[in-house]
Amino acid sequence: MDEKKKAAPADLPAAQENAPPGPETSDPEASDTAEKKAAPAGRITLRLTRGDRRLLLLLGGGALLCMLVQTIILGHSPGSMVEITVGGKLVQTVSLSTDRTIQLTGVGGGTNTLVIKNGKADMTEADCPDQICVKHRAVSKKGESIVCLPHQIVVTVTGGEAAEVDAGTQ
Amino acid sequence: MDMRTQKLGHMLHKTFTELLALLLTAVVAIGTTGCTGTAGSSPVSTGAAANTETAANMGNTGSTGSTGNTEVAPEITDSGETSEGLNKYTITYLDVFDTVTTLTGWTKDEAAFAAEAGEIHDELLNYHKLYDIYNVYDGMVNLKQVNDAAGGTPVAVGSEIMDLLAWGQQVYTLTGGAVNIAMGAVLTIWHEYREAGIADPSRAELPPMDELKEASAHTDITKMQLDTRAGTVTLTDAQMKLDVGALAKGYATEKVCEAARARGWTHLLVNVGGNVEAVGDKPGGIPWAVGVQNPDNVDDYLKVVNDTDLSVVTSGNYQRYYEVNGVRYHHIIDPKTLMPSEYWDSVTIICADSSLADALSTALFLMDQESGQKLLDSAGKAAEAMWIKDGTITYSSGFAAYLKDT
Repeated sequence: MDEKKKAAPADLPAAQENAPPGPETSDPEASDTAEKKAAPAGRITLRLTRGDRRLLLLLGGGALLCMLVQTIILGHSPGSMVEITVGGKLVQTVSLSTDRTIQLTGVGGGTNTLVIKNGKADMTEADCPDQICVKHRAVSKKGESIVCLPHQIVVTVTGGEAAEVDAGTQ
Repeated sequence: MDMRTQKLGHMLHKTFTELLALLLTAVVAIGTTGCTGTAGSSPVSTGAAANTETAANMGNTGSTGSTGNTEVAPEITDSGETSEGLNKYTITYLDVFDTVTTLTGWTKDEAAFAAEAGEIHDELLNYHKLYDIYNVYDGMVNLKQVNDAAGGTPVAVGSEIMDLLAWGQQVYTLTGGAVNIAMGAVLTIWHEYREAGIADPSRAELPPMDELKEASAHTDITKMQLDTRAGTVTLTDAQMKLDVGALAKGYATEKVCEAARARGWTHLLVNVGGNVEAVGDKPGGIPWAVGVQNPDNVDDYLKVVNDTDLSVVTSGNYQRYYEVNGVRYHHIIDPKTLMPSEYWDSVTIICADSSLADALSTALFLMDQESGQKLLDSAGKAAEAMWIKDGTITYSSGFAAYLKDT
C-alpha cells in the first residue's frame, strides 16, 4: 500500500508531462508506449492498459455490429463504391451507401443523371440519342457497369459483393 | 484505495475523451469522403473535343462509325480478387464497333494484363476501321472505299476485308439469304429514319415501303465480286452497298481470340458489345459465367451460361430501336419483308466459333424455330440456341447442358 501511495502521485504527473500531446490524443497505443517508458513501475499502467483494451474491444465490437446491421438491413456491403469515368478519365468515386443524385456532363457536352439509391446506381436520364444507358438495369455488384457510349461515360461498381456473372450478352 | 479509484476514474475519463475525439475525427473523415460526390456533383467536363460522329452513328447494326477520339487510355480495374496466384483485372473500351468492349483477365500482375488487353484492343481497333462504312482512315483501304467505288471499279483490299467478304458469301448461302451483307442500301434507309425518330420522337416516321422496295433491288450479293488472286473486290451495281453489321463483331472477336489462344493466353474473356467469347476458363478450371439479358428488362439476367472456350452471342429487339406512334421498331431487318423481324424477342447462340455464333444469332432471329433448328443442324459446327418470346424460353436439345444452376 505504501509503495503504491508513493508511486501513484509520482507516476501520474510523469505520464502526463512526458507523453507528447499529439500522439496521446490521436493514438491510444502511442500514448500507451509513452506511459510505459515514463513509468517503469508498470503495474498500475498495465492495469489501466487492460481497461483501454477492453474499451477498444467494446467500441470495435460496436463498430463491427453497426457494419453488420448496415449490411443486413441495406443488403449491400458498405465497401461498395462507384467509379465514374468520362472519356476514359476518372472524374468521381462515390459510395453506394449514400443516396444522392449526380449530374454528369459527358464528352461533347451531353448530360446524364445518375441516381444512387438503396445501394444501387441507376442512370435515370440522359440526352443521348440511343438511351441504352437509361434502359440499362441498376448496378450494385462488383464489376457491373453502366455505359453511355455517345457521352463516353462509364459507371463501374468497385468493391463489395462480387457479381454472379463475368459478362453479359444482350 | 481512494487514490486508486480516483486515478482509475481519471484515466478512464482521459481514455474516454481520447476515444471520443478519435471517433469524432473518424466520423468527420468519413463524412468528408462520403460527400465528395455532392461536392463534385457540379457538371464535370473533360474538355475533350466533341465527338459527334459517334453519336450520329449510334443505333446502327454495329459495324459503323468512327471514333477518332483523342481521349486518354481507359484505366484497368483491379477487382482485388485472387486465385491460384492470379489476379482478376478488367478494362472497358468505347472506341471499337460503336459499342462497349470489356476485357476481363486473370493474370500474374497488372502489367501482364495491360499487355494482353493492349494487343487485343489494337487488333479490334484495326478491324473496326477496316469494316467501317462511314469513315475513311489514313494508311488503309476500308469498306467505305469499297462502297464508294460501287459501279464496277475494282478496289484492292487486304486479307482482313477479303476474308470477311468471303465469309459473308458463305453465310448468305448457309442462311438461305437471311443474312446478307449486300443489304446496305435498305439498312441505310432504316438507319436514317431511326436516327431521325430518336432525335425527334414526336416526328418519328416509318420509311416508305416503296423507297425500301426500290433499295432492295440493289441487294444482290452476286454483284459483289471477289478476286482473291488479284486481291480486289468489285461491286458491279452502282447503287449497292455493303453493311457487315451482322457479322463484323463476331468475326473480329473470333479472330482476336484465335490469336490470343495461339499466344498461349489462358484466362481471358472478351465481350464486344454482348458478343462474348472466352479464351480458356477462370483459374481452378471454373467456367466463366455469361449472363443472358432478360428481354423484358427486369433487374436480372434471365439465364447464366457456363463458358469455357466458347462464344455466346445474342440478337435482341430491345436495345436498338425507335418508336413510331407508340410501336417499337428494332434494328434487325428481315430481307423478305424489309421490316423488323417479329419472330422473337431474342435469340442466343452458343458455339465455339464466334463468327458463326454471330451469323446464326441474326439468322435464327429472322426465322421460325423449325427453320432455325434446321439451320443449326446444317451449320457444320456444334451450335445451340435459346429462343425467347413474350417470356417463354425454348431451347435446342443441347443448350440446357451449358446452363449454370442459379
